[in-house]
Amino acid sequence: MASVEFDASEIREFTHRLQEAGAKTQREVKGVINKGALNIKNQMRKEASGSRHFGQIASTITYDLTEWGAFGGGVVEAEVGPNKHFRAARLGNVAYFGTSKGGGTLPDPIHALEAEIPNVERWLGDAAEDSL
Amino acid sequence: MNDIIAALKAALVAAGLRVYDTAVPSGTTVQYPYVLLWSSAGRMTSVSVCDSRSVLDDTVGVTAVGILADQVRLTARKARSILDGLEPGVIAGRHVDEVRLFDSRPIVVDRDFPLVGGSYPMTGVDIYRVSSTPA
Repeated sequence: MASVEFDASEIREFTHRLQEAGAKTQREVKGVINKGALNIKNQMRKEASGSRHFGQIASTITYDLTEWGAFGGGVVEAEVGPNKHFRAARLGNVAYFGTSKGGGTLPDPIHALEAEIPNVERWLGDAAEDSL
Repeated sequence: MNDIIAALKAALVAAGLRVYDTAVPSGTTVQYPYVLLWSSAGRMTSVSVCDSRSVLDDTVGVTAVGILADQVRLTARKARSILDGLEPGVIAGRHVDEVRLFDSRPIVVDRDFPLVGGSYPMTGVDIYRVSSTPA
């Protein structure tokens, strides 16, 4: 009767390495998103502080980082904008989107986001390379 | 940007919408619904090898204003049917790409401008992407 034996030690070692890389990548991705969000926040603050009417919302622009996991994967999210905990932030909607009498006057935040995308992509690529 | 806004405004007016550029002129007795068309002065983004910014990549806000929420929705829908997918072609020596609906904000009550009778106008903002390059 024939028998076959497999040496699975290298596969186990590789699996272990991938698991470690996953945890490291999650940490590094969080750092990258944090850095990107910080840059977007700074750009939005700079734009708001130059506004004659809405300069007061500049200091209310903050960002929150959220991290959660599901099905073995991790998600890192950042939310950037006027923080409604500050009274002056209530003007944010008018500043960006206007009123019934006139349009918004601050640059759409999407431009700050899009300006940051190449940086974030580059940093994520570096993080992925470093983790393996 | 002036020419692009003028083209978008003309398209909306031709569809029967009342349109104001950027703001309702002071002293105007407004009739509802209407549309505000607003933008930056023109966001030039691409830096070419000769260091000139030649690509316009910007957003245009379209604020539908009405007395009731359904009036806002109907006005926004009419504006979308005109603008979303509009291909302006060449305007003032620049090729304007297809206009695309990019984002929509929730309808809100504008309590800064009360109407006669005590109610307030409502607004809904749609954001469109507009880009152009030299023809």
